[in-house]
Amino acid sequence: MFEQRPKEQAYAYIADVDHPTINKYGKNIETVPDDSELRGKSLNINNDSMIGDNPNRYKQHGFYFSADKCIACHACEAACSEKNDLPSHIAFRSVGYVEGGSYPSYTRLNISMACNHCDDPVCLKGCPTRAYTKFAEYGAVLQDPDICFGCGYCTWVCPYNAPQLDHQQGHVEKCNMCVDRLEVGLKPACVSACLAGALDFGIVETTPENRTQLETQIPGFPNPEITHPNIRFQQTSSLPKEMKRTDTIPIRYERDENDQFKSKVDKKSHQKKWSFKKLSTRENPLIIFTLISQLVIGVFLILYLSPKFGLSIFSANANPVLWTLFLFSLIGTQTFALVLSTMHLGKPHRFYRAFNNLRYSPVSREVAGIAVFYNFLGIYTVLTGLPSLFRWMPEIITSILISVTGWGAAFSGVIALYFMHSIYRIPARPYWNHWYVLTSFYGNMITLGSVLVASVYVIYQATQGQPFNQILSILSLFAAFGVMLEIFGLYWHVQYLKTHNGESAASHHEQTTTYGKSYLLRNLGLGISVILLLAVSLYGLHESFGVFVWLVISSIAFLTAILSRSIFYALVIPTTMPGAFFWKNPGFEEHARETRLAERTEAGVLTNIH
Amino acid sequence: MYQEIHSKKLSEIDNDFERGVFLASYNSLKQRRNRFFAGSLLSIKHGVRGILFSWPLYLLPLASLALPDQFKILFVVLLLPGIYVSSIILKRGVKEDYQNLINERLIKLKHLRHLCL
Repeated sequence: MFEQRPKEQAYAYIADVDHPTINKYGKNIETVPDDSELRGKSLNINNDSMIGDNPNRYKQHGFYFSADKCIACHACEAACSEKNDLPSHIAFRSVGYVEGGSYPSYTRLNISMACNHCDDPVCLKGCPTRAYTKFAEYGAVLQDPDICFGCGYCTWVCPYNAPQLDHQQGHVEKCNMCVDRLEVGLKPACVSACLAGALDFGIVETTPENRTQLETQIPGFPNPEITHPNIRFQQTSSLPKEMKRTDTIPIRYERDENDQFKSKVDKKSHQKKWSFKKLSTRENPLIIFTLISQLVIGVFLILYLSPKFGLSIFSANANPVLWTLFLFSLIGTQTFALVLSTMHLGKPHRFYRAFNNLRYSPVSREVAGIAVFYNFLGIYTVLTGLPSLFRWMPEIITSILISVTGWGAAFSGVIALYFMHSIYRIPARPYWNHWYVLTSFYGNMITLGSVLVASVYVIYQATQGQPFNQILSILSLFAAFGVMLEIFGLYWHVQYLKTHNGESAASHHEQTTTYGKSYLLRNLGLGISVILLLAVSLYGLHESFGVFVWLVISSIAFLTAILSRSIFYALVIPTTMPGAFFWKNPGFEEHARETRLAERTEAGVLTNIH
Repeated sequence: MYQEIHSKKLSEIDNDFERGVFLASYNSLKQRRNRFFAGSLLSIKHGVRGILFSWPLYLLPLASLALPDQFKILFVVLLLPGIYVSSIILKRGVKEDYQNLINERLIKLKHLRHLCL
């Protein structure tokens, strides 16, 4: 049990007070029924099998924060870091602020935020390894770093930036509600350390002493409907109509007619830039992984389905060498992509845990989909590429196996890409949360697959002195369709970004300013690709000059896809809590790395995040 | 799962006398042999798991049975880095499990089957 200090102050203990039956989201505050088998069990904190004597063990607890009182002294952060022995670059709780007005009526609103131990924890559902558990005791959402493999998906889906990916350790850690303190009736360390009485803690929906409000919103706080967070706010002092963030995220908060602050884009700059350097992010391996997976599935679908629709030139019988070469290359390329995505994890050797949460996590489903495709592809390749190895098998069995594995790979590939898209449908990342991700992924599958198959066949036919125009006209039409599918999605995505919440509009603003020239280049690339591909389909290409022109067109299509995917990862603006001038400010982190300030551990910024 | 092999770790013992007794047993031939078996078992477990997940990679040499000579090098180029990275990943897995479950612990042979889970 947690060892209490002698003469612990009264304010450090959680108040045992009456509470309503249900919370503001209509959920029972009592976490489990009286006769639940979950009751009366030890939390086994540090292998301690004792059971705490807190009388309110099976009730949802939460933090109370009064913005009227917070002075941004960061004592809560310090207490949390000390209690959890955190390195300087990790904070389970952090204080950020928004400010507004002008001198002398300038106002700053400080917000101290940790995990809100939500009723509907998206981190828990998203985690592929099932490292998260929502405990009946206090309703705490706890995460086990020993299970986590460091994919960081929970840090994507959480709107409050609560899970912290420690790039040094290679795993995620987060606020544990100080459940060891709760077991002996003490409030969490951050609350006990709060100098101004801004933070409080207790059973949710019980008004703490000296408070009048139990609001679920505060300026700068993301939409609580996403996760139903267990935090309640007080903010009675008047605020200006507009509050701005002090970090570099281009978001401001504007009060609407219902007196609610809504996020809006803060247009700081209108200058169009390339920002190529910023396009390189921690997610670079995912750019390669997603594009290669789409390419491989696209190539397989063309090779497998085309002969069934009368294009016998792509069949194994028409060209056994090229067929075998293609299929084995697909295995090698997909393996490379899988290895890259595995090495992207904080703890790559725990890769097999990716399948642990097939029920809820889109990451688990994506990995399973790709794994099924990969396995079917392997069997199909051996059966069709090396038929001499299977002459001992009855022909009917071989034929059934080929059919099952071929269709299996085709279906699982398409399904895997659907799951891949669903990973990005995250309410806390509005830039991604749109169906254009699906049209983009399927569009790339068709375009890249067609372009690669066409390139190989064109070169092969040209070296054999054979005509290649028929192949080219069909495949370039496929490729043009893929690009048009992507353009269609992108057009509607931009309309969505312009008309939706602040983070969407801010992403679009960044897209047209900070990355403006790169964005135009991408759009130009898509436009040129579709025109050239349609022209090739209609008019054809001939002889060695035709091969050269085709390779130029292929290069444009591939480079556009890479640029487009880099923009996709670089541009997302999450609905996170506001940061401070230095702490939790992406702009400061970038500056600290550039100026080598990050080499000093006290700066709290890691020099290399991967 | 690993409850049965969770004996006390050397680093968890504060008492000098207890440490001395622990070390005498820990350094015995029997314990060294048990640790060797446990390490081998972990290597096999992680190796089998690795092959199970990435077996199509090991099909690449078979391509040489059906392809002309000039393409064979292509598959060696794809195969070797794949095997190298796989071995690094699997080695880390073995190392982590060894540190957590074997190192600084007294191992009983009958408990080694739990390592396979």
